[in-house]
Parts: sequence; structure tokens; C-alpha cells
Amino acid sequence: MNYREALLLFCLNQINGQRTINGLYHLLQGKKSSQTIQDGKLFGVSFLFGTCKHINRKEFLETVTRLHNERFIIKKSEDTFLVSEPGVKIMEGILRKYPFPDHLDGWAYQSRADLFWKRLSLYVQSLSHLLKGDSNFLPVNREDNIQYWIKKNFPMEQNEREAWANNLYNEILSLLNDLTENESTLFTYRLSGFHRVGLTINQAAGRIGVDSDFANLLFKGILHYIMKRLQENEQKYPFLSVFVKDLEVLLPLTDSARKTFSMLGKNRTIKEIAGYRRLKESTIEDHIVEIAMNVPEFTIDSFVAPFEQEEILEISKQLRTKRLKPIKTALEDRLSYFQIRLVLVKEG
Amino acid sequence: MNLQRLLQKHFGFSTFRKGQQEIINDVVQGKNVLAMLPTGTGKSICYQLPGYILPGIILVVSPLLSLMEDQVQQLKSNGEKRALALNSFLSLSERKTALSNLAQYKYIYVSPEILQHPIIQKKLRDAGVSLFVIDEAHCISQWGHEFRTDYLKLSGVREILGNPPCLALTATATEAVRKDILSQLQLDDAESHIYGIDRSNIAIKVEEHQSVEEKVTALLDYSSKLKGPGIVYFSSRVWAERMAALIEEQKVGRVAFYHAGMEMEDRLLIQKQFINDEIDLICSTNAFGMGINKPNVRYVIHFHFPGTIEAYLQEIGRAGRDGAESLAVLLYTKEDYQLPAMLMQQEVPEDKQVSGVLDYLFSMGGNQLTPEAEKSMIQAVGLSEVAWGFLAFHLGKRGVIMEDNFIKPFDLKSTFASLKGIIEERTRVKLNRLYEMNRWLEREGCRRQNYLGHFDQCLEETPEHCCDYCGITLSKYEKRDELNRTRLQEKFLWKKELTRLFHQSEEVGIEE
Repeated sequence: MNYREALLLFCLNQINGQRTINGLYHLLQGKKSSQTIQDGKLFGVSFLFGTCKHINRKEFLETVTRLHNERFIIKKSEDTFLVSEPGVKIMEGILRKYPFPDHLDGWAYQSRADLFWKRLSLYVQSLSHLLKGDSNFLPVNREDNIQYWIKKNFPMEQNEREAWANNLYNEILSLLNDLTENESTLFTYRLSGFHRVGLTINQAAGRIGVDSDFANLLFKGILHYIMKRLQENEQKYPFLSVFVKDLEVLLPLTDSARKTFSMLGKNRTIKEIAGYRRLKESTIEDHIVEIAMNVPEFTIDSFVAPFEQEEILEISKQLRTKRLKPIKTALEDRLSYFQIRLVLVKEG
Repeated sequence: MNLQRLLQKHFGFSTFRKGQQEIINDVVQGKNVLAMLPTGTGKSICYQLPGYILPGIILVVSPLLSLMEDQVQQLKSNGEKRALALNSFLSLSERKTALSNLAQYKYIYVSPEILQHPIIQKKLRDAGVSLFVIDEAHCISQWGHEFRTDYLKLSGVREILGNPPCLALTATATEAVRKDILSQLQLDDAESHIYGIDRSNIAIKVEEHQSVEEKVTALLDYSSKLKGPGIVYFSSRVWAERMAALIEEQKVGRVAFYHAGMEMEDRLLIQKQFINDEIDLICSTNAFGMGINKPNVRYVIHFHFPGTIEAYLQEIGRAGRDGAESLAVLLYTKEDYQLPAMLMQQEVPEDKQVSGVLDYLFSMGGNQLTPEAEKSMIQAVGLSEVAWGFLAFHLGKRGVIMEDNFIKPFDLKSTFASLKGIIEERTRVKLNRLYEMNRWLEREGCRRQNYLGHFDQCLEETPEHCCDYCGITLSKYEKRDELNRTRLQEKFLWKKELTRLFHQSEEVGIEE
């Protein structure tokens, strides 16, 4: 069994016949519809969101058919499937050997990670060539918006370029040092420079001796890890942060919530934001709930103290309910509906 | 104006290749020109160089998106920033920006489809076009091997643009096709520059095998012996991938596959690796090669052969652009003829689809076919865009689809019969070309003489290494040094690699 089959078995097992394979396909492709989004959350597969765009529909369906022919999955209805016992067993065996990367979180990062990689790979290639005085090279990316971004952010002077190379080198080295040898090797293989063209995922997978679908997840996981570290600690990685600064727009949020998100980042209070945007405070609170739901790295500690969060979760567990009113009553109205909602959505 | 100096300055060559200077001379004098130059001998210079002499835009009509982008990218990396590819893949805002600054560009590549838009025609006319270039001009002829209906509308567009001088370029056109090109473009006064299309430095070997297994064995043998870089062509993605894996197992060199199903990033990486000699062998579908400038390809193998002699010559023409001795090997079995023939039948719209389209249009008689309706119709009927383009073109010719996409009421039965006749004729042409290709394979006599005959040309001088019929020495194309075979790959250490990418000193890299 190859990794792709194991991956699909995992997803089908999570979904457990409650959604169609078409829904699963959209999820892996990263198609943003509210249904896909909710499904991802509901079945615990949102970390795979948009991470397998290279698998086209035909290949996807072929894999499903293969799994079906080998009785690893059982048809429940026209396009829903259940994973058979042997299917679960073989899938678990493969995933034990090749577990999903810890940092993989397609839902939170994939759309930004994609652009981040396009920019970084072209930037590094350009730096590497131009520092050797070679401006006559074919770029690894031809998209106008990517080339435009590089042009806008590329230093003109040689000493500035050297400084960029130096700093990017140090930042990347420090990030890769915290990853496994295989991951750092994979990432480095993929970069192009003056002396060498980068490898495709498929080629790099061959070099490190893993299945290319697994290498793909490994690679996406590295990007997600970098995105996460940049978000947590912008000051530590000032140069790499330049590549993601304007990508917040790609967070899975409504436009209005996005504005709120960016103002929260500037340490504005709910009241200030509401005043400034001429919106009700309750609207801003709704935004914050949306953000908490969709941005995993968003912390709610400034709205609900950690011990209060525990209290809410404890009561919810005791009462076996997620309904706000009984929880609020049990808390003797010490905390607001907003705070309770926030904790419950964050807990997911 | 000293053409030689311009050539050196902008393209870095000190001398012109055969034909270039004569063509450029006519072009800059404002003459209409039809030029046929062998593949891989620098056709693009014939219009790129005049760009430094003529005042206005050089407009290049190109049939393939990837080809346009390759050309633009090559101009850009040559330091020419005023190059643009206008195609339907640009986003609306990108297209708007480009269109409002059109006069800033010198070289504008367009697809024939996008050139049909009145706004684009107007913008181009306002910006001023100095030369109207039609690349792959054989696409204009239905006797050509890649007929594209949008090409037929080009002479109308040229008129709207104020009749700028026209340069029609092709590498492979028979005499009938060349005549057709001139008449379709209304270029009665054009200067024709027709050069021999033979590439004498490419030796040709055709091999018949009894089974596919035998072909696989032969390919594995060739790929381990021949001196690269090389390209192997397959008719499908699956074959390309499968054989790349098999060849890789032999560990005789660095192999990769390439096809249109790959993601853009991967395609560019593989192209670049190949160009930089980081790959010895590419297993590919016919998606690979167009617009790739690699002078030192030493061999081309066809594991499956293409549907026309023209396409075959184009594909083997990717070898030996540096002028050095190269080899083309074609492996076939008797059955190989059937697959492309079957594919051709499949490409043709079925009766059901044609009548589906006609029924729909019939019900719309007197109304306008909106783009949305058009889209949902071809989806419902399951037509490809190319096939619909073909039908729409002939319906336009019959007056069923009128200006602004109004549908004139029409007679269902006779229209169906007429379309069916045209489709059958088109299939017949295609099958005939495949048949010609097959006949060339089976025919006795010098391979070179035989294909030149197809283009009404003669072999002036038989090269020393001509073809399997005249005799070639295979060992000439084989690897010499055994070292190559067991090339030791330097161990890849990512930290060391990172220091090299960023040009850091090694000491820094080893530190933790």
C-alpha cells in the first residue's frame, strides 16, 4: 500500500461515512466553502486542508477505486465509504511508520504557506545568482504577482544584498536546526541557487528515500512550522517575516473580522475598535469568536484568564452541555456569554 | 543600421545563422515575409532583432501559452524588460494594467483567441504595431498539421491594426501549406525565404520491434549506452512516468519525467535542471521541448511516434542545436499505428454532440448566445473547447452564428449534414497525415531523402552519418568514459548546501 492510499484511508475513517468522497476531495484541494470548512473541523481532518492540490480528481477517484477493489473500504452508499477492519489496520501501520508531521496545519496556514514558498524560493534564487553577478537566469516562478513582489522587495545595492543573504541564511539555519535531519534536507533540496536547480518534491522524496506523497506532507509541514514560528516571534526573524507580513489577508476570515483581527494585533481594545469602526461592541465580539474559531495561534487569554477558561470547561463537562445559559448560571453570572462562547469555540 | 552589431549587443552572437540576415533585411524594409527555417535555428531572432530598429510594437501571435511565456521569460533574462504575454490566463486586473500601458512594451505575445477582442485590437492599434508576426504559421492551414480556426481570422485583425508588415514563420510546411498561408493571410506580395529543413547533424535510426516488451528492452539499452543529454517521447503521462522509473532503476544517469499534468513549479524546475545539465535524460510527453533552448541535446528517442511527419521533425529537431553530431531513434511496432488513429477518432466530436449543439442553437434561433449559455452548452454536451471552436467557426462560416453571437434560424438537417461532412473531411486529413508518417517508417530508402520529399525538397548532400538505411555507426553516439556511468554523487549535507546557496563561508555553516 502506498502512502496516498493510507492517507485516504485515514480521512475516510475520520469521516466515517458521514460525508461524500467529493467533500473529501474538496478538502484536500483546499476549496473554501463553509461546508468544507465545517466538515474539516468536525471530523478532525482540517490539518490536511489544501495540502494535496497535486492529486487531481482522476487520480483521487482511481485511488478510491483501488481501495474499494481491495476491500479496504466498503461502500455505504453511492459515494460514501466506511473503512474496513483490515483497512484500518494497514493504515495505522503505515501512519505509525510515517506519522503526520507535528506542525502540519493546512487549515491555518496552507494558503499563506503556498505564497510564502513561491516568494522565498524565487527570492533565494535571485539572491544566489545576483550575488555572483549573474542576472541572466530563468526564474523558478513566472507568476507576475510573485515576480512583482520580489522586484519591490529586492535590495539594489550589493552590500544590502549580502546583508540579506547573511540574515536569511541565519534565520533559515536556526529554523531548520530545530527540525529533523530529513526535514531540513528536504527543504534545502527544494531551494534553487546559483550552483544548482532545486528539486521537485518527487525528486527530493527519492533522495531522502520516502514516498513522494509523504514527502509532500513533510514539506508542507515545514512551511507551516516556519509560518507558525514567524507569527509567534516576528522579532527573532525580521527578514523572513517580510515574506509573510502582508499575507494576513489570506486568513480564513470574513473581511470585517479580518479588520478587527488586524486592529487587535495593534493592541486595541474591543471598545476602541468598536468606536473606531462605528460598530457595536457585540459585533466586534462576534468577530473575535470567529477569529478564535479560525486562527489556531490566536490566544484568548486577554479576554478570559486561563483559570477562568478551565473553570468554564470544567462546568461544561460536569453539566455535559455546551449551551451557554446553564453554564452562565452555574458560574453565577461571573463571566459573560462572550467569554463562555470564546472558550467553547477555542476548545472546539 | 549595422545588423551585426545589434546581434552582438542584444543577443550575444557574432554571426547570423543561415537565412536570418536576409529575412531581417526584408522585415526592416517593411516587406511582407514568409520564412521557413529548420527547427531550432533561431527563428525568433528574425523578429526580435528588428524590434531594435522598428519604432513600434512587435506583435507576435503564438499558438501555445507555454511557448509565449518561455519567450517572454527568455527576453527578460536577456535584459529586455519590455516583453509581455497577453493571454486569457492573466487576471482581469493584470490585463487591465497591461492594456493601459501597452505602448510601454516592445514585444507583445498574444494568443490568436485574445486577439479577437475588439478592446485589445483598439489598444494595439492606438499603441502602434510595427510588425505583425505569425509564429507557427502552418496553424493557419487546414492542410497543416495543427490547424487552428482562430488563425484564420488573423488577416482581418491585421487590417484593423492598420495593415502593419507581416512576418509569417514556420519550421515545417509543405508547399501546399505555404501557398495556403499566403492566400489566407492575403500576402500575395510577400517575399518567401524557404530554407532546407534538413538537419544534417542529426542521424536517423528507425527500428521495428515485435512487441512492446522488446521496445522497452531496446529503450533501456539505449538509455544506458547513449551519451546524453537526451529526450524520450511517449504518447502518455503514464508511460513517461513508468519508463522514467525503470530507467532510474538502472542507475545509469539522472532521469526525470515531464508532462502537462505536473504542477507549474515542478515543470519549471525540471526544465531548468535539464537546461543546466543536471538531468541526463527526460522522459516526456510532447508537452516538453517547445520553447526550450538547449543547444547540446545529443539524442531524441521516440518510444511512441507522433501523428505527422512535421511533428516528428519538430521533435527530433530539439537535438543538436549546437551543430554537433546527434542521434534520433524511433522505436515502433506494427500495432503502434492503431493508438494514434484511435485517439484521432476520439478527438472528433461525436454525432450525438454535434446534434446536441445544433438542437440547443436551434432552440435559440433569433436570440443571442451569451458567454454563459455558450459555456453551459459545451459543458452539457461534453465538448472540448478546441472542438467547440472548430464547430463555432464553421457555423459562423455558414451564417448560423452571426455577428455578436446572434443565432440565425437554420435548417437542422442540412446543417447537421454539412457539419458532419466537414468533420469527416478533417478526420480524413488527420488520418492521412498519420498514414504518411507510418508510410515513411515502412518505406525503403534513405530516411532523409524520404522526408525531404514530403516537403518537396531534395537532399543536396548525404551527410556522413545519415540514417539506418545509408548506414550509421552507433558507437559514435555512445558514452565514452565509464566514469560517467558511476558518477559518485557528492553526499548532500544540508548545512553545507545552505552555505553554498547564500554564498556564506563554510566555517560559518558548520558552526551550530
